[in-house]
Formats: sequence, C-alpha cells, structure tokens
Amino acid sequence: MFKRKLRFFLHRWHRRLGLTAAVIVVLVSITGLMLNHTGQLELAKQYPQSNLWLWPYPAEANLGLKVEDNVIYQAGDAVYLNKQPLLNCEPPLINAAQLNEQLWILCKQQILLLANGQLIESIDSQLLGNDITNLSHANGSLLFLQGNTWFGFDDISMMLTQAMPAPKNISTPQVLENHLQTNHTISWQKVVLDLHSGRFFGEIGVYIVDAAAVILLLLSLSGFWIWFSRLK
Amino acid sequence: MTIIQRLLLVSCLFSMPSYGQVSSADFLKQYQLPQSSVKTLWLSPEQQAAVKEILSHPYAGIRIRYWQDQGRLGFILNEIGKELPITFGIVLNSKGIESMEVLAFRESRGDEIKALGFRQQFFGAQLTHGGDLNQNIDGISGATYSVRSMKKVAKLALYLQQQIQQP
Repeated sequence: MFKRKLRFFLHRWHRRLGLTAAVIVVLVSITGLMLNHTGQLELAKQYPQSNLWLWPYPAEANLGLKVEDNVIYQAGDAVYLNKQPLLNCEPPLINAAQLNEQLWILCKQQILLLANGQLIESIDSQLLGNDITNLSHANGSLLFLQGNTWFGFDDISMMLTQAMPAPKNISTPQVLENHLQTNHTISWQKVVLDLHSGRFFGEIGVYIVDAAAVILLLLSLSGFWIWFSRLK
Repeated sequence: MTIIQRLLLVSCLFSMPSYGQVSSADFLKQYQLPQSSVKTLWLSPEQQAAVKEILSHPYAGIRIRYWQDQGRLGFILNEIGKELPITFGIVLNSKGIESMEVLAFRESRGDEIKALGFRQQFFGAQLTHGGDLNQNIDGISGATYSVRSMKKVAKLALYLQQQIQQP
C-alpha cells in the first residue's frame, strides 16, 4: 500500500519536476552544444551588438579621438578607424594627427601610419628614441614629444629632427558618444558560456541552473524507482 | 641533427634563462646596423600575394622598413603567436639568416623560442626553390604556435631579401 502511494507520488512529481526543469534543460543543452563547437562556430571571434545580449554587461567606454572626418578609438588591444579594426596596438591610444593625406596614430609603443584609410605600416616608437609620449602637428610638420621637448620628425630616416615649439592645441582621447560605441570585448563565447552557467541572469540565474541540475538528478532517481517498481 | 645534438638542444632550452624585451634600437645597435641605413620596400600586389602565402594571412600594411648596411639586411617584423603579436628582429647576409632575435614576447606561454639554443637552428637558413627553409627546425612542446610564427617570419625575411636584392 505504502509503495503504491509512493509510486503515485513520485509519478506526479516526476512529471511536474520534468516540466519545470524542461526550459532550463533546453537552454543548457543548446548552449552546451554551441560551446562544444566553439571553434567551428567561431564564437570567440564574433561580438553581439544587440542590447538583448549585452544588457547584463556594464557598457565599456571606448576612448577615442576625432581627427577631421575620422573617428579613431581603442577597444581591448585593437585600434579602430571608423569602426573598422586596424591592428593590435598596445594600449593606451595616446594621440592621432592628420597631415595631408596621412593619418598618424600613436599608441604606447607603436606608431600606425595610414593613407586614405589604408594601413601603410606599423612602426615601433622606440626606434625614434625612448620616452616618446605624445604626437601632434604644427605648420605642416609632424611632431613627437620626447621627455618635455617637442621634436620634428623625418619619416624617411625615421629620426627625430630639431626641437620645435610646443603645438597650441593638443588633443587627448575622450569617451566617445554612445552612437560610436561598438562592442568588441564581449564575444558570443562569453554570452553563451554565461547563458550556460546561468550567470547571464545574475547570481539568481546560477541558483536556478543549480536547481535544474538537482531536479535532473531527482528525475533520474525517481525515473529509476518508477521503472524498477513496475518490473516487480 | 644527431640524437645527442637534439638532447643537447633540449637541455639548452630548459637551462636558458628568460630574457626581457629588447628594444628595436638596441637590436640595430647590437648588430651594427646604423639607424640611418633605413630603407622602405613597398609591396607590389604580387609581393603582397606572396607574403600572404607565407604568413597564411595578409600582411598588415603595404610598406616594410628594413636596414641595409654592407650587404647585410635587418628586419623588425611582427607575427601573431597564438593570440598576441611577437616582435622578431632578423639579420640576413649573403649566406642566409645571420641571426634572429625575439624582441618582444607577449604571450603567456611559448617563450622558449627566445633561447639561443633554439634560435641557432635558424642561423644560416636559406629559402629552397619551393619556398621552405632549407634547414630542419625542431619544434618545442608547448610552444607550437610561437615556433610556427618564428618559421613564418624567417621565411618572410628571406623572401623580402630576395625581393630587395634581385637585379
């Protein structure tokens, strides 16, 4: 009699718990399949842009500069020109200057030279000398700040020339407006991993996925019990 | 390379101390390439295609700086290891690669390629007609990507040497 009651009880709760856990199990299964094939799906190299996927993550301010018609900014290690990735450039992005057709960008240890939006070359700033801390232009000449002195620059020999007066308006990277913000740091891999673990929904999400795991465990035990009690 | 030489190479790799970064200017000074000897090579579309074939991806840029002095050439080239760029300094002479240095290693693993015992395998290397190195380069377990990058850069430097010195 007791066993019969227990079997009915387990039957009822087996179905209820199964339905309750189903939503989470579907989510965890799909994300698990995606994570198993991260490489093939290239999840680590692609970045969602919709707020539907990005709302749990605090917005990262992109520091950048507006140089004439161009917007140059850094996200992670990469430098972007008008949302197009240029090259990895060790942060921070220090400054940029447009001179005739050429756009010069200075990062911590690298100088990028572009012409008409095309990357011409990347130069190690240490070749100009140690302690290059800024770049600007004045009177049609490109200038680099070494220590406390501004110097002219000969781009053929790649050497600093004579000391020059400090330029009047030296730009500094600013936080860009929202419409220029682009996600280049939260990859699909992170989003899928966080969905899989429940962290996407905050701390409570982790407990919900934990609960679903416990329910699955109970389902397998109650399923066994129901199956074997019928055999008897 | 005999088994004993290989064992010696492996023991050298493990006994070598880890080096810090070498600045590009120091590299040029060390190999007596005056900074004023800098020249530029503009890559033609054919050269860009050949470089892409060597690197398995397009070269970032269309102009490459090199230093030329008394028949010797110096290049400072970057190539991605696993995720981050590794900066290499390469000196070439008429007999192939004279020396190859790792100027900046930014990855968390694989810096065994900085060891002299490993780098020496590249010294004297030339390009075969098929575009490969004419010397066998032993790999390093745990530094597969770094070794691959170094081999690509060695091939690239030798290819650029051919392009610069061809009549």
